[in-house]
Amino acid sequence: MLSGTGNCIGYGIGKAKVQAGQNRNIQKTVVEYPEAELARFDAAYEATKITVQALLDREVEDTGTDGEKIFETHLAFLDDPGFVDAIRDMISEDAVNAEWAVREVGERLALMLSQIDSEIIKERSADIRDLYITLLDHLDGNVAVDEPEKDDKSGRKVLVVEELIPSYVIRLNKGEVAGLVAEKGNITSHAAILAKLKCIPAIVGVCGLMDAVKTGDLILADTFSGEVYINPDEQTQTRITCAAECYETEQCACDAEKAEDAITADGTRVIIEANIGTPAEATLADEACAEGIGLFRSEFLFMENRTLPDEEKQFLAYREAAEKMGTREVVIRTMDIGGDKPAPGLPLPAEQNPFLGLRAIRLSLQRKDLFMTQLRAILRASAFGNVAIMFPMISSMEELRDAKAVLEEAKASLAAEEIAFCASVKVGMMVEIPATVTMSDLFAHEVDFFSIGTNDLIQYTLAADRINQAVAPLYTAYHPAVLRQIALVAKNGHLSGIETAICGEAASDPLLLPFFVGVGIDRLSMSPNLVPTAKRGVRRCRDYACKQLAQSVMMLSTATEVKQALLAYQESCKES
Amino acid sequence: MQNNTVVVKCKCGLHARPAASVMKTAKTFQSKIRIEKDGKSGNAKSIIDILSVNVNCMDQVEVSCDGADEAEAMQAICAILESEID
Repeated sequence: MLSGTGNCIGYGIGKAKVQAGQNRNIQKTVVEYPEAELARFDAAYEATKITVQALLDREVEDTGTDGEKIFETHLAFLDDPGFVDAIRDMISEDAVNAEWAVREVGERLALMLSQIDSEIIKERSADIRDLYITLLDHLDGNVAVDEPEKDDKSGRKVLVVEELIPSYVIRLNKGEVAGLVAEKGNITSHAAILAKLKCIPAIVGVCGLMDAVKTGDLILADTFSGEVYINPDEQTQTRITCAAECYETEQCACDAEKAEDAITADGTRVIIEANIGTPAEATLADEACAEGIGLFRSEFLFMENRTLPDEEKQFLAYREAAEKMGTREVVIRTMDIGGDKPAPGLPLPAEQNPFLGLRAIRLSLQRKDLFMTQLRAILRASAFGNVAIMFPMISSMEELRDAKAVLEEAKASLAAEEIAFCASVKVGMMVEIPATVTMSDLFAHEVDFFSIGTNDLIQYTLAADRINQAVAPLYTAYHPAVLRQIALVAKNGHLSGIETAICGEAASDPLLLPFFVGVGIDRLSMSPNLVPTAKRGVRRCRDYACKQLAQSVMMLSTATEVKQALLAYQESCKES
Repeated sequence: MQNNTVVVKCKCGLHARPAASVMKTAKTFQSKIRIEKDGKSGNAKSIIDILSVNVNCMDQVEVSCDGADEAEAMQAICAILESEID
């Protein structure tokens, strides 16, 4: 068994098809007639251009995958004298075979780009590799036309490649391949994100893969654990196959009804929203039929670049998300920088207790210039969709009032400049510090909504650092103190007529879902891919049973008992 | 020869698509066109050269054009660098 990092979308099971990549066996040979070799290359070059143009035309009709940009870039590479002329020069001057020249030049350029200190440019080296591999395929007269075997699922292959390349992934169609396994690469790479967008189970970074697998081997890839089994024993085969079947049955059921609202058997509606980190992910949220964006983390703008994003750049990002979601609400959280999320453009002194230090709203209020820029950008985006603003890490009423005062200033400055924004933009706060839970009755009068950030609420309630492995067992959402706080916030929210959402990891925990329904949580926000499952979960709930469950687990004294009670409830639902 | 300093406004810097359009435009001129940043310089008629200069959004770059149509070339290239395409 080998292992790597999976993209958490099911299982890839099938016969392996090993794709020759840049490491195919190419011998350097001296050719007698370089002109003939040049003619071969030119023919392959023209054929490659036609292939890429065809892919581009196909992608123009398809949206959301950035395929257009990729193939436009490929065409540009093909037009680049630094690439094509270098190959032709090598063939004619060194009198070598075209294959050798293509790989030499391609690899040299790919290597050069991969050494540049920029993640985006590093990824372009994969594009060059893909392009020269296509050239090599045309030289071989062996253009990979994968005959899709749509009707026969058992005939689908697991593609085994050295490196996952964006343009390679983009030409695959969901349903035509069983899975993708790559020896190299990172799960956050563009190619891996594309695989996720296409819903293809993929595992990357599998050491020793290319040596261990040959075409025809049976591969079972578990994208949740990242495990890749090659010709495993029968017991393992049965185990993984069963897990895959269960997953697919459930997924099909969830997917089939993803567009429907999440309403309990007794008619209570829970809004299921998505958490996103970039505007592009709004497309995923839309496809999953999320009913809004419950949390748009604005940090990516600050963490990606060495310089701080200006108002215009932020505005464009927020507007893109707002426009993609149309009338559905997009809650933009102001920057949650500091602690475990440093921003390269905003160096901060090291702190002994970063989670208790200068971060999030505390930093925003100290750096009013940055805060003002961000609020203006969010307000401007509010003219293009249904935008709400949320402040993170509020611990005192002063902070909330100060933040709201800056917001009013931002509104006034925009109004003075006659720039459009939504004057009635909703303002909410994260409830993630026990102090605000305790005072949630008072806070409820001053905001339009609450959003419980369980990740931080757990760590602050239980005084357990969430990234310290040594105290990991202490960190649990099932602690009765955590559950009681969630119930209190929801209750105080309702008394003042405002909604309470949950946007932490716990929001997507199927065990906790009936509890959340039972205490009257109005909204749950989670990773886009989990939205359909949560919606289905809500539909299975009965209000009275959930209320009873919530009451009873809050009377329990340990997290273990709580988890047992929640599991027992889940089992009882399955039986009935 | 003409020289000009501009601040790049392309949203993601000169990566992929903007680099491709710089190359496409540069190729329509006879002049030699180069883009330079931090002592690293590249031929604007080669996307690989442009990428290797590693230009990010808000970076300041030096553009030089040399040839019969240098004035027009300068204008066209700067227009792309200063536009907010992504």
